[in-house]
Amino acid sequence: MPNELDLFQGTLDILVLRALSHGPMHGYAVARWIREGSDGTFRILDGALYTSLHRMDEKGWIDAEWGTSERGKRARFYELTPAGRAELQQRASRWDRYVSAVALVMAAPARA
Amino acid sequence: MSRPTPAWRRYLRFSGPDIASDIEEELGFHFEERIESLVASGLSLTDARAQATAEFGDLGTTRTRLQDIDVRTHRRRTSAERLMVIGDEVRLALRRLRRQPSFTAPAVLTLGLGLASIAVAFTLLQAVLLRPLPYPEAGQLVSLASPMPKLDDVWGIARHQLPYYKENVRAFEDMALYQAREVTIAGDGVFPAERMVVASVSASIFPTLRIAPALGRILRPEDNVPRRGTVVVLSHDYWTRRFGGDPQVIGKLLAVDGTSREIVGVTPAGASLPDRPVDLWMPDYIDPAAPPMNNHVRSSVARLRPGFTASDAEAQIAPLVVRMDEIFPAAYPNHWIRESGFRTSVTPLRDEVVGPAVARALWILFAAVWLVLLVAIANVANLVMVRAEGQRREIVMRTALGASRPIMLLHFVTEGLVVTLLAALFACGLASVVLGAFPALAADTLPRLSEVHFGLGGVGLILGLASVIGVGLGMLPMTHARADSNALREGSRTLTSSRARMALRNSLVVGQVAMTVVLLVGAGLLIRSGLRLRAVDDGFEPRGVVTLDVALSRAAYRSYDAAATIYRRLAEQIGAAPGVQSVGFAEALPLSGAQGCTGVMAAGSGSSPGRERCVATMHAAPGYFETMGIEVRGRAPDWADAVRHVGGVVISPALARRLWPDQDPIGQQMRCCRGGDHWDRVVGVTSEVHMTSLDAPPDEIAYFAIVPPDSAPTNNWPLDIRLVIKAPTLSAAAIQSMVRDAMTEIDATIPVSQARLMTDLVAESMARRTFTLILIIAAALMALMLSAVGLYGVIAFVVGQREREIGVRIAVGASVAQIVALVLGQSLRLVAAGIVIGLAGAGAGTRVLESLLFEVSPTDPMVLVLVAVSVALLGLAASGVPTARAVRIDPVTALRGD
Repeated sequence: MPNELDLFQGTLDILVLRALSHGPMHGYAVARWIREGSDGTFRILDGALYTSLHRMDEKGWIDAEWGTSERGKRARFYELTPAGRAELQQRASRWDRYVSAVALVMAAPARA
Repeated sequence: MSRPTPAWRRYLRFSGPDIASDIEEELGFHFEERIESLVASGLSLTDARAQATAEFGDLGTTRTRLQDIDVRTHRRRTSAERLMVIGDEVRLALRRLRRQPSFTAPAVLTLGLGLASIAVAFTLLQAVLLRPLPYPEAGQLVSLASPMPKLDDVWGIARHQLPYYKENVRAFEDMALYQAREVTIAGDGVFPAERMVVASVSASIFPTLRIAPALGRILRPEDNVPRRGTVVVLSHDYWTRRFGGDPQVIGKLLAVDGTSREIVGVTPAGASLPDRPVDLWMPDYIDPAAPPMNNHVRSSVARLRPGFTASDAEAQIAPLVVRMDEIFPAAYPNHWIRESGFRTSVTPLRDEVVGPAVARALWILFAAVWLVLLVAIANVANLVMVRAEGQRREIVMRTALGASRPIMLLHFVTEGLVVTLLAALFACGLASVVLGAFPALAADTLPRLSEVHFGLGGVGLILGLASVIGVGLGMLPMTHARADSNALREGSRTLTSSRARMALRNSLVVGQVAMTVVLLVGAGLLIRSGLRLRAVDDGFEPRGVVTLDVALSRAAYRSYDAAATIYRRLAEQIGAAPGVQSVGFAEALPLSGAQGCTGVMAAGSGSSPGRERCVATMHAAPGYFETMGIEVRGRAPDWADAVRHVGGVVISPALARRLWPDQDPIGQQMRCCRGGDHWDRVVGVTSEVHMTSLDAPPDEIAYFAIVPPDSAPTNNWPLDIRLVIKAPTLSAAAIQSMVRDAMTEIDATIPVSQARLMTDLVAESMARRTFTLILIIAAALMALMLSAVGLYGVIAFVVGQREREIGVRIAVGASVAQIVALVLGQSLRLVAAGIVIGLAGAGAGTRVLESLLFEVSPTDPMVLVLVAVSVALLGLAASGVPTARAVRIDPVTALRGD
C-alpha cells in the first residue's frame, strides 16, 4: 500500500481522544472510526492504537470500564475524563496552529 | 457518570484485577470483530485472519507493552486510592468527633493525662537512672566504699588502699581517690574573696574518668607527693568566670586558702566529680611512702578493664582486704579488720550517684503511672463501648448493605487512632510544660535533675502507646457486631444490651476502682510516712534562724585562740545589733550532713578500737545551742571557758547511752581523735539531734569547746564554721549585709557566704522524699479522679438504658427509696468489688514500698480503711447525678419513647 502515510508522533493520541469525544467506545470501534474517517490514508497498526489507549488510561485522560458491545459481547469501553477533554482541546488547537503554519509556509511565494 | 462511587465500593479494587486476562479478552474481542467484519466484506476466513493480524502489528510486543502499562497504572492507582480512602476516613472521623464533644473531650483529656504522666515518669527515669554518666565508657566506672556490718556503718577509702588495690586488683584499669571541700580564694580588687568547691584528688582521677586537659595539663602523680600543694587546675566554668577564658592564665598564681598555687591547666566544660560539680582541682596529699593510717574518709572511683564486672572486682579485693591486718599493722592493730567486719564494696558508679532509694522511688513512680494509664484506658474503653451502643444499628445496617468486616474495622480503627493521636498531642504539650518546670521547681531534689528535658524518647513513647491504644479501641465496637447481625436477621425490633457487653463494662469499672485503690494505698502509706517524719522531734528549732558560712585562712589564724578571738568579736558585734536574739557557731549544722566522723572512747571502758563507732565530732562556740534551740542538760562551755582554756564537751543522748549505758554521763571523761593522753570532760547532754536526716536514728554527736584545754593536741582549730543567728524579725538579706559589714570591719579578707534560712535547710533535707512523694500522690489522685469519671459514665449510661424499666417501676408505685436503692446498689456493687480486689492487690504490691516507708507498715490498717472508705464515698458521689435523674424519670415519657 504505497499511498498510506505514517503518522507523526503523538498524532494518534489526538485521533483517539477525538474519537472518544463522541462518547464511550471500545478499542475496535475507535480503530474502525479512524480507519473509516481517514479513508485509509494512514497506516495505523491496531497494536499501536491499543498501546495509545492504555497509555492514556495510565495518564488519566481516559477511563476504562468493562461493558457490553452493541452485539452483546463483553468489551472494554473507554471514556474521556475531564482531564482528557482538556488535553484534546489543547492538542487540537496546537494541531490547528501547526497545520496552518505549515500551510502558510508551503503557500508562501519564493523569496526575492 | 457523575454519581459518586459509594465509599465502600472503592475497596473492591483492593482485591486487584487480573491484568493479563483482561488484555487477552480485550484483544480477543478486537480480533473477533475485525475478522467478522472482513468476512462480511467478502474475504475468506483465512484471508480475513491474515489481514487482521497484519493490521495489528506485532501481537507479542504489544501484549507485553500493554501489560507493563496496566501493571504500572494499577499500582499507582491503588496506593493513591488507599491514601485517599484513609484521608477521607480521617476527615470523617474528625467531623464525627467534633459533633460529639461529650465523647471526644473526656476521651482526649483522660487519655492525654494518662499518656503525659507516663511520659513524665519515663523522662525522669531515663534522665536520672538510665542515661549513662557524662564520662566516656561510663559503664566501666565503679565506686568503692568500706561497709562495716559489725559497726552498722559505711566508711570511705584510705590513702594506702590506692596503691595497694591499683597494684593487685586485675579488674581495675585505674583507680582514684577524691574529696570535695570548700576553700577560700582571696579577693583581688575586682573579685571579692569567695568560697569555691575544690576537688582534692589523686592524679589518677583524670585517666580514670577520662578527662583530658582543655588547656595546659592535668595533675600528675608527682603532684600528690608534696605535703604543701603547689599547683591547681581550673574547671572550665571557673576559668571563664574569673579569668574570662584567658589562655594566658597558665603559669599565673592563685591564692587558695592563703597559699599561692600555680595554675597549670584547665579541664574541659562539663568535667566534674561523679557526685557534684567543682570549681578547682587540687592534688590531695597521697604519698605511697607515708605511713598508712586507719583514716577511711575519701571517696573512690575506679575504671574496670573491659570484660570485668563490679562483682569480679569485689571478689578480687576480698582476699586483699583480709590480709590488710598483716600488711598494714600500724594502721590496723589488734586484728582490727577482722574485728570490725571491714570490707570493700564495689558498685557501679551510676547506682552510687543516684542512690538506691531514689532509684526505687522512680521505678515505683513509673509503675504507678502505668496504673494511671490503665485507668485512663479503661475509662475511654467504656466511653467507646457506650458510644458504640448508639452505633450498633449503623454497624448492623452497613454490614447488611455489604460493607465488609475489614472496611468497618478500618472505619473504627481510624476513629480510635484519631482520638488517641489527639490525646497524644495534648500529652506531649502537657509533658513538656511539666518537665520544663521541674528544674526550676525541684532543683536539688533529685540527682541529675538539671539534665532532664522532654526529648524524642518521650514523644516516641507517647506516639507508640497512642497508636497501640487507638487500634485496640477501634476494634472494641466490632466485638459484638456478628451477634448483632444475627439479631437483626432474626427480625428482633430492638437490640438489647447484651450481657457480654455489660459484663465487659462492669469489669472495666471494677478494674479501674481496683487500680485506684492500689495507687491510693501506696500514696497513703507514703503520706503517713511523711507525717510520721514531720512528727519526729528534730531536737532544734529552725524557725527564725539564719545561717551563713564563714571561713578563716589557716595562714592568718594560726591557733585556737586566734580563731576564737575573731569568732567572739563577730558574735559580740552581731549580738549587739537590734533584732538579734542570739548568735553562735558550729562546724556542722543539723540535717545538713556530718563533716566527717571520728572514733571516740569512754575513759575506763577498755573498749577495743574495733568497737569504735564513727561519731560526728565538731567544735561549737558559745551561743550555738541557745540559738539553735537545742536544749542542754548540764552546761555548755562559755566565752570565759574559752579564754581560760577550760575545754569541756557536750554530747548527744545517743552517744551518752552507748558510752555510759547506766550512768550519768555528766562528769565522765572521754577521748577523741588522735587525742593522745588527753581526756575531755563531759559537761552537758543535748536533746536528740539528727545530723543527716530525720528518717535515720538520732546521731551520736560530740561538741567540743571552741578552745580545748592546753593538754589537747593543738592542730585542729576550727577555720570553716557555720554562723547561726536567731533574729526572727530580720530578713535573711538584712542579716547578710549586717554580717558582711561586721566582717569588713574585723577582717575584710574573710569571705562570707549567702545567708540561708534554717527552715530551708530542713526542707531541703527532706526534698528528695517530698518530691517523689508529691509525684506518686499526683499519680494516685489522677487515678482517683479518672475512675470517678469512669464510674459516673457507666452508672449514667445504665440509668439511661434502664429508663423504661425504671419508668415502669415508678408507674407501678415504686418509692423513691426503692429507685435509689436500685441504682446505687448497682454502682456500689461494682465499687465494692473494686475495693476488695484493689486491697488484695495493694497487699501484694506495696511491699516494694517498704524501704521508702518510715515507721509505717505496708499493711497499715488506718491507711487501708481510709482508702476503702474514701473510694466508696467517691463511688457514691459519682452515682449521685445519675441516681437523681433516675428518680425524676417521668413514667409517661419513658414509656412513650420508642
